[in-house]
Amino acid sequence: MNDDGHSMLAPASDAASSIATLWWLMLGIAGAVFVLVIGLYGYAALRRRGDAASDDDDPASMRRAQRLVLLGGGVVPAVILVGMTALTIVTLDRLLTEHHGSEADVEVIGHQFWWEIRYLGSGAVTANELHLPVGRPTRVRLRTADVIHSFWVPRLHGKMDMTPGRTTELVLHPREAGTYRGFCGEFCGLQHSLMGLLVIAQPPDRFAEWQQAQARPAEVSTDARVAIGADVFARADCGLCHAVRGGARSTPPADVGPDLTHVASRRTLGSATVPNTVQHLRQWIIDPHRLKPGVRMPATRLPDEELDALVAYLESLR
Amino acid sequence: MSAAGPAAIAPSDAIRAALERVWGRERSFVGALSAVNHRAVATRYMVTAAVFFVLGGIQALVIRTQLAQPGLEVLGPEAYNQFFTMHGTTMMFLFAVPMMEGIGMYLIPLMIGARDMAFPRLNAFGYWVYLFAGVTLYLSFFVGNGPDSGWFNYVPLAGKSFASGSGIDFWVTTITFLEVAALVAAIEIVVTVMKLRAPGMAMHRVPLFVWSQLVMAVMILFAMPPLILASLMLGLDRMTGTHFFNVGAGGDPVLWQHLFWVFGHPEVYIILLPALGIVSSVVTVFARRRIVGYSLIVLSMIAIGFLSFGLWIHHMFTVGLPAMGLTFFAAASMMIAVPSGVQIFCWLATLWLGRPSLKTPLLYVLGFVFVFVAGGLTGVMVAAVPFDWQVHDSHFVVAHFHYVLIGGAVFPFLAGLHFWFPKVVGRTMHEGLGKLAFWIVFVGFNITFFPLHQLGMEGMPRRVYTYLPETGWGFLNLVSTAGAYLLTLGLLLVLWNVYRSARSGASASANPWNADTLEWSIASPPPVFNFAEIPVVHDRHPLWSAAAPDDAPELVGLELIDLERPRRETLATTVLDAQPASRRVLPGPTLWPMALAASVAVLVIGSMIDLWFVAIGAVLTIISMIGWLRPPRREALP
Amino acid sequence: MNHVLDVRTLPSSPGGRMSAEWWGIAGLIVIEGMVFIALVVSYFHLGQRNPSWPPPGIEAPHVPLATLNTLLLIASAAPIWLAARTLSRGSERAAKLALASGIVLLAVFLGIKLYEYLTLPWGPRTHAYGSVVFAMSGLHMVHVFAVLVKSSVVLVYIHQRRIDPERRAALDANALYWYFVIAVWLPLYGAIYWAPRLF
Repeated sequence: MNDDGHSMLAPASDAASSIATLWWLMLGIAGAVFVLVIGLYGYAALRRRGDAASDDDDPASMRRAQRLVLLGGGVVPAVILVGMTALTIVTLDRLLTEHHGSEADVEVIGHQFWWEIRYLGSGAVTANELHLPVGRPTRVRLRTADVIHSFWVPRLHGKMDMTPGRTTELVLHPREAGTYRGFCGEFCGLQHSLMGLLVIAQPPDRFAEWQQAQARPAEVSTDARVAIGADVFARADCGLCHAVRGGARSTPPADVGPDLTHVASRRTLGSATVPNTVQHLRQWIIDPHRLKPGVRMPATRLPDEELDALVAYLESLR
Repeated sequence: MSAAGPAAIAPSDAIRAALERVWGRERSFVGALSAVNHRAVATRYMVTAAVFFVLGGIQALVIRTQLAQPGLEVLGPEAYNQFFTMHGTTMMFLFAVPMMEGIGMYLIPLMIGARDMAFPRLNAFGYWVYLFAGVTLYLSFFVGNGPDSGWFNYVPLAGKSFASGSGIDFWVTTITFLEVAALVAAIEIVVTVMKLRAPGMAMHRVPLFVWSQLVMAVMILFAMPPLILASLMLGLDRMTGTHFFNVGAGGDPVLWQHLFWVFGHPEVYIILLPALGIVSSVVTVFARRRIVGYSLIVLSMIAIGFLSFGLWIHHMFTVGLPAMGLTFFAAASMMIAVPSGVQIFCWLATLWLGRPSLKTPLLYVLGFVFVFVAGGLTGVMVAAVPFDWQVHDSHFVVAHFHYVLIGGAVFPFLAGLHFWFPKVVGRTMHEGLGKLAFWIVFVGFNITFFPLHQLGMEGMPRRVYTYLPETGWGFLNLVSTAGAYLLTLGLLLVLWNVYRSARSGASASANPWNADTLEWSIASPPPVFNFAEIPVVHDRHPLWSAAAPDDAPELVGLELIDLERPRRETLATTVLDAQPASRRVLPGPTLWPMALAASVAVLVIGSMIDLWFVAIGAVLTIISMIGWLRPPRREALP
Repeated sequence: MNHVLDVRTLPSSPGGRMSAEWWGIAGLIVIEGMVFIALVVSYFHLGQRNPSWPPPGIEAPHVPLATLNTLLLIASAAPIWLAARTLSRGSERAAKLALASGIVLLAVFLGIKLYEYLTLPWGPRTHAYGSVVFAMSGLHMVHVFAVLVKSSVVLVYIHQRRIDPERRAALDANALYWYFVIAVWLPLYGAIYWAPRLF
């Protein structure tokens, strides 16, 4: 699943840029300190001395040495660190100003091992794919349905934890359109590793279109095979965990697994693990553990024709 | 013994023979189990810790192998999670702390001129607790049911609902149990340093290594209890259904994080401080001059000890706590670099003014400076809250703390190994092999861990068992894994050097390095009673100083043994200025410490299985304590 | 000529702060004190996380009985102090009597505590509040029980003349620890019984 990168050193928002700037400044300072200290040590260890090296401990020279130690090891570092603390505060302040304000736009809920995404205004619900408008801040409210997760999209912002009993917030404000990969930043169990997500930043009009489409209930196709597939979906108890909003066979809201109302419109399966192709969808239903060991979804044994129909049904959910 | 002060008459053969008899033990299996002498117990600590280091190292190598390329299947996620949990737990609890305490137990009495530690039986007890706890934890791992929620065991992932197996129960009980050993050793170290120093070794003459151990031990007393409480709460939540961390019933998972890091942050400095003490010893001896800034180094260590208790929030910057608090903890976390900086410059000045002799121990110290300064600087960076938001729990942090912990503890440990090996074993290590191994370890270490900084900034989280090929992390991971094998090769060379030097190295004189502290005033290896005559100290560097000042009181009877009624005796002195105060009579070999450790093991480890074991263990514990502590009747006294 | 000291003439079992044992017990008290501090902080942390503390439907344990019991515990300091003092003056009989009455006071304290907590309408599994209150009281009860057992053994030893006026470090150490167990109850008492009513 190709994306447009996921390095904090290639920031795509002002927030990520100010953190990257902080890093480069700190790297410069730290690099200079490192070179200086190692250089001094190298010289001290290797310099050639006359045989009559000073082994004397006359109090005056000892005091002079101690003063230099206090200056080099105490005062200078303290001054540098005060500077770095100031940089920290300035950057923190810049990041937090965006946080003052209105209600959240989106809620992202961490699950073992996927992301539920709810657009609070429109009622659109999706999973593992967070669409954002470019050039406008989106307030994201974060919480968890089970254990602690941490929401991290390095190109847009630092990470923020999702802890039971607490909600946290991030403001994401992408500058340019693109697909940015995100990760779970807190160890959350067996499949912490492949708990990814894609953030898709789009021009505002494209985003609005997308959001409208996602908010709509599922469209019921008249295709016979799709109808059989919908039947299989119900009989195989898929609806116990997955919701499909609207349509002839509207299932009660369930959020154990991702909402599938528009599953076919998503780019990936298994939390940004594999591209969303018919082949992968089949594999995923038969044995999700082959693609993603430890995932919470059980394997489903189905006769081939029923599987084909189920896949056709899911593929119709655009 | 130039240190012994006024010319004393050398102890007679009769006295030596009596000392030999009273401090020795039976050469038998039971005799071995009942040994309480500090060097016997300390050697066990160090050997056991070394075995755990090898186990933790093997886990690390398997972990690195699994991560060499995307999508490898060396380990599945279940096994991988157990591997990294055990790696962290082993290195922190079963290797680093016991190893540092073991080195202290071995060296402190030798450095302060005592014949043993203050409570020799307690020492033995601590060792058995450590052994039983470590072995029990590893049993769970070897049967494939090890703990798998990380060494930090965040709830609710480590709670019963998400970790229903017994792996976490094993972790909770054995770690609680293990803390007992660490705490017992800490009390032992504090009291020994306070009370048993040689006459004249006032606080301003205490060797820096002993100072570092003292500060470490005091920190342990304050830092470990919150962890004991936290693991007790987690155990109760898991096994009896309480709700300390259950949000649904008024609990709070973040409480666990506070308690864990209130312990966990000082823990890092607990491991670091004695290592700094080793560095001070090695720098002094190999710069061949008196240390510059003795008082500054002592004050820095005390400052680090204090400050380290005020930084724990920097492990929790991403929890979403109020911003005001974050800024305070960011500033505090940065400022702890100052006392470290002072020490770095003290050693620099000492080397600068001295005549450095670039033997293996000093090479490891220079390697330490390189790696530790780099790790310290990235530590300052992660204290910057916004940057931490990016790299927290990423491989950047993995790189950072391996620079700090391997750089800050393992490099000094290896320096100390090469430095004190002749004293402990009586043979010198091969210098050429030592240098070769150093360079391989140094280069291997940097190849392993330097690329991880970059990987972290490119988004690679910690504690992932695999990653997708399209992340582009494969190349740097491959480099890192290759480095891990090189590092392993270097460490194996060190091990080989230890093995062959112990068997056939050149035999060592009492003071092969022309070192300054008391342990070098006696034979290598030292006799079982350490000092035939308690030394008297008039200087910070006793072996480098001339005779006693004229106004020093003359002490006699320093061989301190009653030939009529020989007992184990050492001299107790006053706390600050080390004036002779009393004779401390120490106990001989006994099996009770082992019995008590086994009883407490039944109580603590049995609590996982059934409450009946708690009752049985409690009764056994009381019996063992009575057996241990029962004083003789007055009539039975001679 | 310098002054000469023969270290063989120094005493071999000094008391009080001169002894290593005193420092050892002091270390133990630091450790245990930290456990209790962490516990009290946890109590207030959880209290601050909950909208009301104790939570609705749960009433904090009653003050009068606990206050009476606390006074009883404080009173037990007198006999142990007396026991240490009389033994050091050579009266083993008086020491035994004082120690025995201290043990009785502790036993009564423990009995009342057990009654108090067993009759509460809520328990450690009801709510995090119950968990932490039971942990505070329970951990303290374990300590009182330990002092009880230890003191009983010391009593028997005095009777068997294993502890006597010359060798009384065990009794002194026991007393120091006893005072600690009394002292550490006071913040717990304040937190459990008064804090919810005052704030």
